Amino acid sequence: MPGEFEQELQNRMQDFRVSPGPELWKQVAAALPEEKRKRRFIFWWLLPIGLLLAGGIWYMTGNRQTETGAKRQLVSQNDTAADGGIQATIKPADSLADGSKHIITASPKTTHSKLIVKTAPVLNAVKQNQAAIATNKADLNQTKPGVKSKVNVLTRPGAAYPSKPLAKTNQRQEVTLETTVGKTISFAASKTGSGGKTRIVTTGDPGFEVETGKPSFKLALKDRKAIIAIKDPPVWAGSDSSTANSFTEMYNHTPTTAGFIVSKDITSNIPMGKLVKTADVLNGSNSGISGGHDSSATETLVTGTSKQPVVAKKKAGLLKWGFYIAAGSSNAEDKLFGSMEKSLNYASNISQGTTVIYASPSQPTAGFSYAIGTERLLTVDKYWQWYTAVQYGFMSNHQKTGSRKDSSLIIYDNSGYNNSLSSTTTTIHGFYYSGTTTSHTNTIHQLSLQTGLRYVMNPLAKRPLGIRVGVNVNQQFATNQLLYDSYQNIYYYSHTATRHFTTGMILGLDWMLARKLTVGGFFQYNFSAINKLEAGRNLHWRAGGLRLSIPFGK
Amino acid sequence: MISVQRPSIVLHTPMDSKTLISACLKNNRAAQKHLYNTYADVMLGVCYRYTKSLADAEDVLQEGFIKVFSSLQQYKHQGELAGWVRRIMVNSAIDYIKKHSRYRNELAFEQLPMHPVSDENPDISLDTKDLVELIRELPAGYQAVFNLVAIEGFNHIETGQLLGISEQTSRSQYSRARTTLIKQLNNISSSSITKSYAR
Repeated sequence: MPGEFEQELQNRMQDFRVSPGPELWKQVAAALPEEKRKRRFIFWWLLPIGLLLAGGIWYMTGNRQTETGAKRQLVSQNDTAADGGIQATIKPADSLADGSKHIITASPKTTHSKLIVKTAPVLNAVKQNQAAIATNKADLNQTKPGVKSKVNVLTRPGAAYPSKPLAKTNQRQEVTLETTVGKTISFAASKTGSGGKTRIVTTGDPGFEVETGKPSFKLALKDRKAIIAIKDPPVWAGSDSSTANSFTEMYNHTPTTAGFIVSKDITSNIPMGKLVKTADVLNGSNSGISGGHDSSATETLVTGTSKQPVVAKKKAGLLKWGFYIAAGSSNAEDKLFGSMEKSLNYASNISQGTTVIYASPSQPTAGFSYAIGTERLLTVDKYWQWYTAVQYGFMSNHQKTGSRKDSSLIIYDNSGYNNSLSSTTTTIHGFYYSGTTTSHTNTIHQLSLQTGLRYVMNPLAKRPLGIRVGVNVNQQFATNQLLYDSYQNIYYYSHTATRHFTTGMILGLDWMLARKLTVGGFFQYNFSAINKLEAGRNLHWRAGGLRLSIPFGK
Repeated sequence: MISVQRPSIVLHTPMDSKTLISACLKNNRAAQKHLYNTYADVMLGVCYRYTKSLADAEDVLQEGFIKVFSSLQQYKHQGELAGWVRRIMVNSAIDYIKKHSRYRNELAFEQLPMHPVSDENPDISLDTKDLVELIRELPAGYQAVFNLVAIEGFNHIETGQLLGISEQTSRSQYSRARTTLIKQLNNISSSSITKSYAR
């Protein structure tokens, strides 16, 4: 019972207050977990939808302009022979007097309904993957970070059955084994009780040694599983006949094998850098062991020092979303590789006294390209990932038009008088000429759906390398595409001629940096040619450059 | 300079505290700050009594509030939240003085002979702040035992368990602390009349 002195003290102290400094709350707040910010996630999922909508509006707007406006024919070339000579006339097509104005009337494609159709599955996909992400997030939340290691008490199976031999069926106990993935963890085992040996066996990595008689064991990795094996715990001390048994026997729980195994696939649901948690203890049967158990050996205490780093990989089947940007150069050329110059028979119209040689069309030069998209990666197994992506891309190149005076040739005409050789100086007229050329920039925009495989060459490395091979389908909504019509011998602009549904492929090599940022190179090639009207030429868009992937979440 | 304040508001009603706790459990920073502001002054007063400096008291308060927020899900809404928070602060203070050498050395009680318990119940003419300063001038061991027994109301068995000492040691320490404190009180207020009460 408190005296009056104590009672008065208590009354006085109830009112006693001291004001803390203003910085103290900041220090407390800094040590508390951060607030959850869910809305941030939603923003990213809106990105592909926004891209699709923007692309659709762009497409529809461009289409209407094409339908109502006149086709823009910029350059036409009409090479005619006059007085046995060569005369080249380059005029704006609208002003051609001979009516050779050529207007491409490529019918605009109806895209409005297509875009609506395409949007719906994308929305569904987003919803489905939000659900998948939520599920994964819930899984991840089951592993709480923060604890580096934890003392684990492995209760000796004999303690639960002090007066009778262990049953043949395995006894199952749960222990907790916690460490931080990517860190080095280690353990030491000590035993109480008398007699017997504690033999610790590690497995999974052939480089590991079997340690005997030491109060420690190691964590091994095998097939992305961490396996800890402790052989011959004190419970079977004394006349333990299992000391000669191999780990394999122990692992298989043969009836005559004593020991227990701590085994757990620590890779499940655990991303890199997160906590590894939970191991199972399987207690083997000792029905074949004579001498029974040692009741004085009551427990094995496992606690730890560090020896072997643990590397956990993403669980197979874990969906990951990411956002990526890419930039580089692009061009549309005849061949996939090489000079891109196709050998064409542009030399023609050779007749007596008059020789006209058409130069080949000018080759475009590379322009700037970029792409932005979101992708989902489904881990198939340790090495393979299946990815799908939605991407908006822009590609461009440059092309010159004009006339060209390349060189003079001596044409030996053997159809002349008396069938004797004569010579004519011939000028080749082509499509560009330095000083009188016009440079045009071709641009193309496309929405792509991509799918493919990513192979991780070294999945256990800290900075794994990956190779991507994939295919894509693209809806192009080009603007300002300068095309060549070899039949009419003109260049013309078209907004609609390249509005193709195309297919293509993509190759890539990437390297994972810190915070799971992935950087690498890519090469994209469209199988489909951009213009079938152009005889003899098969221009395919291609792009290459650097690509940076940023994962959503951790 | 320490400012001593009088309580001006009643703490949350049960409904309020439930809502507040729910928000705090969701790591709502505003709610956590509100809870902190509600109890910080009182709890720093508690921590201050167990330590020798304001900086140490603030360290204890900081650790205590981190424990409060991290273990708030264990609060079962039985009893006042203030009492629950106060108990955490007292435990934090005990942990602190056990952990830091300048306190721990004085906590290493040797087995002292029993000291007669003083029956004196002096009239306390000092204001609260000065009274707290007198308690804080006691050796750390006396200070901890006196706070736990006289002010928190723990018995000597509980005090012994908290400090890791025997019940007898707790009794002895408390007796000496009480005598020392009363002596100082008498010296300070020598003109006042010391009243004796039967215990």
